[in-house]
Amino acid sequence: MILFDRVSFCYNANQETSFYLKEVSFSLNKGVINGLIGINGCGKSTIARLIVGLLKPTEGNINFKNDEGTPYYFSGMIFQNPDNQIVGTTIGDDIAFGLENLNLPTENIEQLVVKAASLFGFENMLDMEVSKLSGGQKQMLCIASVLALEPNWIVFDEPTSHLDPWARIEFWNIINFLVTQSNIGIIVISQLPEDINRFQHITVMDKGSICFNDSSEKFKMLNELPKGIDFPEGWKLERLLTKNK
Amino acid sequence: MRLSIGNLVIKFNDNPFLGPIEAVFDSGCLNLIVGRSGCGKSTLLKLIAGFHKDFTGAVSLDEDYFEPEGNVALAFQNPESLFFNSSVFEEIAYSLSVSGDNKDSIKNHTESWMKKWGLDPELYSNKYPYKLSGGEKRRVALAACTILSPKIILLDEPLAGLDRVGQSDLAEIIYSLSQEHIVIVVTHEPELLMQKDSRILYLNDKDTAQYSSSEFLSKAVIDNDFYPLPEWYSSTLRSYAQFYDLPMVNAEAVAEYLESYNNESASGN
Amino acid sequence: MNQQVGIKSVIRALSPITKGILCIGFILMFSIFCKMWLVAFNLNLFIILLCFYLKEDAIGLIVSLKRIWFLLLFVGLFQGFVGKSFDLFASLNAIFKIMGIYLTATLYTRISTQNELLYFWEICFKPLKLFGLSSNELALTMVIAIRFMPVFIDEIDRIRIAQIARGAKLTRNSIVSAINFMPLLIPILTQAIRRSEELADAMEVRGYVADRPRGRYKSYKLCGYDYLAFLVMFITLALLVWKMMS
Repeated sequence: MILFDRVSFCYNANQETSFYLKEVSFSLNKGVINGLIGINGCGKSTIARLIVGLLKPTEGNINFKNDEGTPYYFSGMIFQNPDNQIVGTTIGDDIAFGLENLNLPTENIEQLVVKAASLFGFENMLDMEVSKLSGGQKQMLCIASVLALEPNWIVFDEPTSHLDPWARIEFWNIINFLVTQSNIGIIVISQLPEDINRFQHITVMDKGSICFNDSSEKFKMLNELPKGIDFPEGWKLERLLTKNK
Repeated sequence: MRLSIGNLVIKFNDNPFLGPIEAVFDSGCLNLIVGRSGCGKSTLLKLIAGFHKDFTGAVSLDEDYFEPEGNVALAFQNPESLFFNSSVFEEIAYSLSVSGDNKDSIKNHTESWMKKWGLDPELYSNKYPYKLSGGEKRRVALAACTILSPKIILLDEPLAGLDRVGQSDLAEIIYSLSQEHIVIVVTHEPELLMQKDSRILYLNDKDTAQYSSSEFLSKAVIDNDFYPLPEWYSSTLRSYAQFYDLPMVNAEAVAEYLESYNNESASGN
Repeated sequence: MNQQVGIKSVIRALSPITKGILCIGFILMFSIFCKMWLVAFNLNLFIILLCFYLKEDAIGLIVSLKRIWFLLLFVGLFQGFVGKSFDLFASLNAIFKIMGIYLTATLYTRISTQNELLYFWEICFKPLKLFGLSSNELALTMVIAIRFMPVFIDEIDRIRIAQIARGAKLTRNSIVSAINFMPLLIPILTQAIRRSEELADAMEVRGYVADRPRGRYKSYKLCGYDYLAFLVMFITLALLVWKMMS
């Protein structure tokens, strides 16, 4: 569980006017697909960056509960454009990058690389050059590279915006697999209404504060939606059909 | 106006890559191109614009041989990455200033074009392009790419990365453009742009073909792997797909469609 | 670099250190120790025969020489006419020297993967530690440069096409001035900065901290063939030196 306890964040600590987050408190649980939505500049990516440790809160605490048993704490992040986050020139190199940072011995790295690669069928393609992969495969490689580090949480920043519809289906299959078959917490940031349909827990942000944080069933019942947020067309249809009956 | 391509084979280093493609693109309706990423959609746009010369086959405009020179606008994915001016006005007027028109006519032309793209000249002209919101940036970029108002406008993923409001605003502008120009749009979200009279070119290494929107929708609803439409749409309409023209992919249209169908079957009984 | 991936041969299985030293060694031999055209010719022959023997693409290697035919011709003529009359042997010697250096370097990049090249460079960079530069980071910078090369080439091409479609005059025929190239330069720069910011974040999330010791995914050990290769090279070198002395 991730617990935000009155977390504030501003980029310039001396100027109180430049607040990005104001005393935000909420919690997210593992075992469900957590969706984080809101219009551009509402503070979604700031929250994501705080969770993965790229930013440190100016005030308040972020607590990770029930993760004490794990050997070390790590949360990974998948960025929007797969091309900008692949470091290695080959598949094997990229998966190994994070493991090399942990300063593990070579044999361990090799084992872990093969293990992570085999999750996506990459085990026989370790020497393949990254530039020869398709967009969907590149994204899978990014996910494999983060999974190799055995993270407690993974944050996906608009993961579907660069994918074609076939790759989007693949992506959601992977997410469903991770949520049900692993002990990894999943947070997906997205603006697409079709993605909202897949979320099980929804957090809506507006101007640096949380304006909704509950299950997607509750979200579906809302009569007035936060600014800039649209229901998935499927939900709208359900409403229209029940209204007409 | 009609742009037609016949027996077109796209090649790379003289090796056939995709084709043969037969397609017509008309003004007055939207022409969409869909297909998996890497299937050659963007290359086809480049080819029409005259930047990919490695092909065989014919491209013709209104039955004449088509020479892409100054009559094509081309905007790639994330067109806002092309910004290099310090104000919205300069950015949009760039194409005109290169061609060397006089200042007044540039100003008039640019301001009327800005209005067409929903950008009030008084509000936006002096703004810094990078400081705009995502949707505004996209509209500025597309306005800048199309200001020469050519016969053919080619857009690659114009809606990608925008929020819902930005997408529907832009879809409307693109549709209005298609009334006077031949607009060809490559997209992963045809459901957002599709109209009853749209034409969809489906690119694939095996079965490239051009469909009307209702043909495309039925085919996609029956076979999800042909084209994955949103799940709610396919599951709701699967049983209708073989017999009836399907509605557009939005809740209102589908609700209306279901209602009229149910009424029909009720009165039939 | 045109590597043929997936081919296995003795020469490819050599350790990157051996390959690197062999490459440098042969280049040295050609540039310093070859005083006779026959020696240079024989060394070339040796490289080509070795390729045939090890089932490398020897013909492709010879054909690749056509890329530098003008250089060969120029150097040949220049060297030949240094003296009072045309000296065929001096000319041949120069041609075979250049040819040999080119063949060695081409073969080296063909039989090495990017990883192996980097591994060797990293070792070469080690002495730079004296000046406070970390060889590890330099090598990583090179990996990233190589990794992003195709991405950048694509992007530059895309921006160029898009700006030409907007009417920018970027063709070679037009009068070249800095202002003409602004539509190309500024977008390329802003995109590069955006990309590098995102890459830096991605690297940090995956636990990269500059100057901290890092593990190694691939390690290379010297084996029997490596020692054999060294032996062959040193014998050749010794013969050349001996020939020069006598």
